[in-house]
Amino acid sequence: MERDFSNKRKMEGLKTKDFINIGIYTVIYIVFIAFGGMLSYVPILLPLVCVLVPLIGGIPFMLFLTRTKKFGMITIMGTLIGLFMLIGGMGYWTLPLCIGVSLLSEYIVKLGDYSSKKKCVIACGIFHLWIIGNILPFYIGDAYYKQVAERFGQTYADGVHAVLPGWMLFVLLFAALVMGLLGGVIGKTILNKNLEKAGIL
Amino acid sequence: MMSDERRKWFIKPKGIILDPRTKLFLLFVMSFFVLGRAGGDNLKYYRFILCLIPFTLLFFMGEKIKACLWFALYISFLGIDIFLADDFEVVIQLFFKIVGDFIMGFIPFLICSKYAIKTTTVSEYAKAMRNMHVPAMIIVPTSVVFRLLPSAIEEIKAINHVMKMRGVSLSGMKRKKFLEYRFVPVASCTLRIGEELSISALTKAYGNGKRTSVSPVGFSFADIVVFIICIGAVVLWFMGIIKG
Repeated sequence: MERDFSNKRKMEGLKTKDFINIGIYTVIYIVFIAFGGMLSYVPILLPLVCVLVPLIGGIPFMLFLTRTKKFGMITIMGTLIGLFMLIGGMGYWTLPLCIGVSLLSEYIVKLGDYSSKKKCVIACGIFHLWIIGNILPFYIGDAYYKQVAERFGQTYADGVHAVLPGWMLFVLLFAALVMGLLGGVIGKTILNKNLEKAGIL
Repeated sequence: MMSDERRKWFIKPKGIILDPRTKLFLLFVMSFFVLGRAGGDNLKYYRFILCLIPFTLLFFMGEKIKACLWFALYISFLGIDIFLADDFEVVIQLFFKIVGDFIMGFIPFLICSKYAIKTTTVSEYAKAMRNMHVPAMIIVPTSVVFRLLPSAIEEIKAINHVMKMRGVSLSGMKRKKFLEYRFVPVASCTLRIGEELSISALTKAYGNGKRTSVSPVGFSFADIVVFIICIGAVVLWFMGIIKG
């Protein structure tokens, strides 16, 4: 039988083993960022969350990227995380943002042919922009501030308004990106050092 | 997991049994209306009805004392919120608002999710999802997540315990190695569990193609009651949007 060395072979679809891998790494990721997730229930701590989560989440994400060799895995993981955020009460914006951002990182990782570590770090930074979905409700319309005022009182809502002025959105966007990149670099270092030793990589 | 052993199809489980689809709908509704407070002040009284569901479920699951205690806590914070809130100074009022928000919002939702995870086996969940024609792309990762999440949390607690004993904590001797000594065991443990899951799933031909299952999945009276209460919340919310 003639051997088929064409590129067609590389474009296999996602199999059950890949889905299971996605589920496993989603669990690890959620467990790592759970601490940040807990903090985000208190609206005043949201800027802190936007900085912590990309940093902590970089490590499990880099671990996940070592197992991603096919297109679509990051997107499914991003969708799952978005769904969890939706159920966890983080608003409607996180889900579409997650999907969009994970598609972007998907393309970046693909550009690096699934083996470029630099591109993986960049994809990590871009992926963690989804955390901005948590503070988007504050910038889109007045309804969310009214809700916060109902839940926590008007003084609290004013306090939140002081912490999140208009330009803060861009600062946090930039911070999330930088922290995501930093988390990716830390993840890459830990992976290089330890897991090659342990034989997992 | 204990629930897996108790929920074999020939063992009748304790408490109110709901179809996995109802549980999923309940979780979405609880997250949207109780955790996320959609609908605002208009739905304040209906939210109380919604919150009765998790406490009832917990009560019939056998944890009667816990259910009563949490319910008492919920009722007291609700009472404080309605009657006494305006009488306090700002600082105390803020404290009660924040803690009350947690207890009246997060706790019922947490009880619901704990109930959902404890009383659903993976095969029931998968069968219910397949009946709704959800693609394998969604079923397999989500069932892995909800099967693995409790085990992963147990592993992490155990690893934290062991590492504390060895002095690798924030106040211990080996402070610099803190991140490494927590992260690598967690990762390798979970990956190992994941590999075993993978193998067992592939052995059961999970995910691809048609499968039959003996898991009992179907709607009952309790499902209808829960469904009506949840739909009521959605309808009221829509009416609120239309009105203003």
